[in-house]
Amino acid sequence: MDLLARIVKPGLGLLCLAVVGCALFGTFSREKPYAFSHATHVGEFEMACDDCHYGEPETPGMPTLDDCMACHEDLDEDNPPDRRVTALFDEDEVYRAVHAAALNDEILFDHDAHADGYVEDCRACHVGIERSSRIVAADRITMNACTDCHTENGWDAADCSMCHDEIDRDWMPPEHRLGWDRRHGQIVRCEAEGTVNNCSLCHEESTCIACHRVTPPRDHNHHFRLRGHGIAASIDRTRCASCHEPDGCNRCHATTEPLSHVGSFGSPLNRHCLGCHLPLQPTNGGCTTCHRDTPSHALAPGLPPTPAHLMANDAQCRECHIPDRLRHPDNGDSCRFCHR
Amino acid sequence: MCPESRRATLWVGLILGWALLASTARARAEDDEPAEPLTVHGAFTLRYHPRWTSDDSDHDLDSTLSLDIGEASRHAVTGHVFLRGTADLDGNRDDGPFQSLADTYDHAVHGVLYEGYIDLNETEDFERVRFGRQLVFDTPEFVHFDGLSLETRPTADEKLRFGAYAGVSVHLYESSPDGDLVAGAFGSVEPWKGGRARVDWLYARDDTRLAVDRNHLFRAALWHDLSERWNLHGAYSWLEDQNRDLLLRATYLGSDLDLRVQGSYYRLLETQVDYALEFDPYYQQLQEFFPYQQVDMTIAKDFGNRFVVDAGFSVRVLDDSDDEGAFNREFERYFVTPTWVQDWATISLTGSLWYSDGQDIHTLGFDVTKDLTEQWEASVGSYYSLYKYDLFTDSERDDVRTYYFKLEHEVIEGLDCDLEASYEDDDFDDWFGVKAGLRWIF
Repeated sequence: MDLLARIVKPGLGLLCLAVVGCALFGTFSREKPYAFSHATHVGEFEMACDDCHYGEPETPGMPTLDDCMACHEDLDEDNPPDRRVTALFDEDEVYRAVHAAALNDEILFDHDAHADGYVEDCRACHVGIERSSRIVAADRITMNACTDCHTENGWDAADCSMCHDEIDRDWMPPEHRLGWDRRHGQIVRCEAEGTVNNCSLCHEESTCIACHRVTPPRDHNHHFRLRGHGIAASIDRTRCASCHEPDGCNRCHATTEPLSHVGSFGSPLNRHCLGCHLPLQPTNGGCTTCHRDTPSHALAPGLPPTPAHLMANDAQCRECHIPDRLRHPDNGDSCRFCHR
Repeated sequence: MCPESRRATLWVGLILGWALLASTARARAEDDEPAEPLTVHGAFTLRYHPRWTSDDSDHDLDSTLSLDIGEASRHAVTGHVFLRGTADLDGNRDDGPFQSLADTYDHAVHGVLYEGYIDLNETEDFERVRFGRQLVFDTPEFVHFDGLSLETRPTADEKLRFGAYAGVSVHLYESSPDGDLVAGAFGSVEPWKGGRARVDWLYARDDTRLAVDRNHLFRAALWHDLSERWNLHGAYSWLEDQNRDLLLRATYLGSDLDLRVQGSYYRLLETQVDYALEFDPYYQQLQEFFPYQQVDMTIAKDFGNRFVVDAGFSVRVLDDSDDEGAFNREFERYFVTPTWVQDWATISLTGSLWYSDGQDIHTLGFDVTKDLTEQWEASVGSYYSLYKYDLFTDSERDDVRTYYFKLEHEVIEGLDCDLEASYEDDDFDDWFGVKAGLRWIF
């Protein structure tokens, strides 16, 4: 079966899971409230940013209800209450929504200094805001954007104290919550250049090794050590290579027989013979992994050097060597495999 | 003392000797000019690990020590040591159910040095000059060697950088390093915003008992950040005169949507045979690795601050289905882990299925973790695994049920004690194990 056909089923399964999850948690059913559209005000009517965001010197501020009502008093006259601009303000006439670009209190940021000193256009940081019909979380300024700009302008992006007031060893980014131990491998593997994905910003390189050396996966139980690892390695050997030294396998298996080599596996019943000889398997099921030079097999007697024997095929062998008289662990599928 | 032990002792001695000398020199210099004291940070773990079955037992001690001497931002020279020691306390190193890798040695105490190197941090042209036992991750294959690695500082515009490394391969469990060598070089450039390209050459010589393998590997890799959320990666490699493998990967990291998706396509292009250990680590045990294609997909989504789901699948298909055998299998793997975070506890369920020819593994587990106080945390859980496969003509099932209990206590800041007890029931026996120990981060 080809690869594409094989991934359709699990892909559909994941899609169903995602849809059910979203439906359960109301992502689809949530009614979107009335929102401010920058696309209309900035894009269509070409209003300047500081027509509304003039506020305090250190912050651009949010517009007041009076600012909006200068135009909307007439515009909203025929609109239902929940579609009027007053719906954007609370009872104290304070803009209801939290500014999407609002920063945590502990972040050191001077909006005026940035607006006057470093960037000439608000859109340098608020990318695409003029096309936005509603402010969503994706419109917030990200740390990557800050550090990219800082780096381009010669600042040290790794100097945390430039922007952060509280630098606490125990503090962890929001992304690190909820099952981060299972997920951080994704971030490491993708090797993205963004600062927030840069583990070395906070973590020593040596931390990875120190943790992974002492914390085995949950399925590495007693049984796994004895038997399960063989099954797992036979299915996906690349999974083992993530952590284990390959020479460790060789070292251990040089002195440790597989668990199947017990009981009747050896003499007197020699159950192991049947592994290759019933039916005869030219590429046997793993015996040659360790037993590459088994002397007894090389000692199988050769065919008598007569034309009749040398020309005979397997069926012709059995015309004389009747199975009833030929006590042999092999079922006789291929005499010439051993007797050459 | 075996050659590997001698090498490990030499590196540890050199680094600790340097640290001692550096501390002394700085102490003397303090009279003349202020000097940054040489700091030592690290982690130490110690675990006592007794285990029992109905008629057998084993008692081991396991310890790791990680030391970071100095800080790269403050000191011209810094050092790092990471080593592990295991001790067999009861002398039980027979072919019993508890035999481990450490038990394959004649002595009860066994130590390995994973890393032991010195970094020169203030060289003008180099971002990294590292000397000693080191493990390099960003090479086409992980390389572990005793030697020297260099990496230049990136140029200002296109961030062009070069690196090289060479040394004696570290094969921790081989008796002799004679004839083993690893060397390589790379160049990396960021030709456009968000893009990065890297080419690697890696050479390994491995002197095994039966032959000497000498192999060259070349790899070209490209990364591109389409946006802050989308990252693309592709890599292609050649081993000797053959194409080796192709990797394509796309990652979506949407922190605003609390969604992470990663999908990858991998294709092994040629049969992997008896190459140097760095390139084909499992040939000795698992024989040839036949060409295949594999697709992996993982999705992680937070639903608010209380519920998160991780799910994914992997599918592998051999290029030639006739190649399917004991150690070359097609498989499908699925997993899902929902996690609920409640005020009283965090609950997670994990289920995974592996479907492969004749070998199925089903696992199902749960974990409940609760912060008892600020210093105490307790977990309880269970894990079930079903291995099902054909041995000769018989079918075999191994029902493994594991129950565990963990207790962690923060004694003081940086010092944790923990206790884990586990009971396991499978087709062969009942197992009981305890891990008790401490972890000190300083």
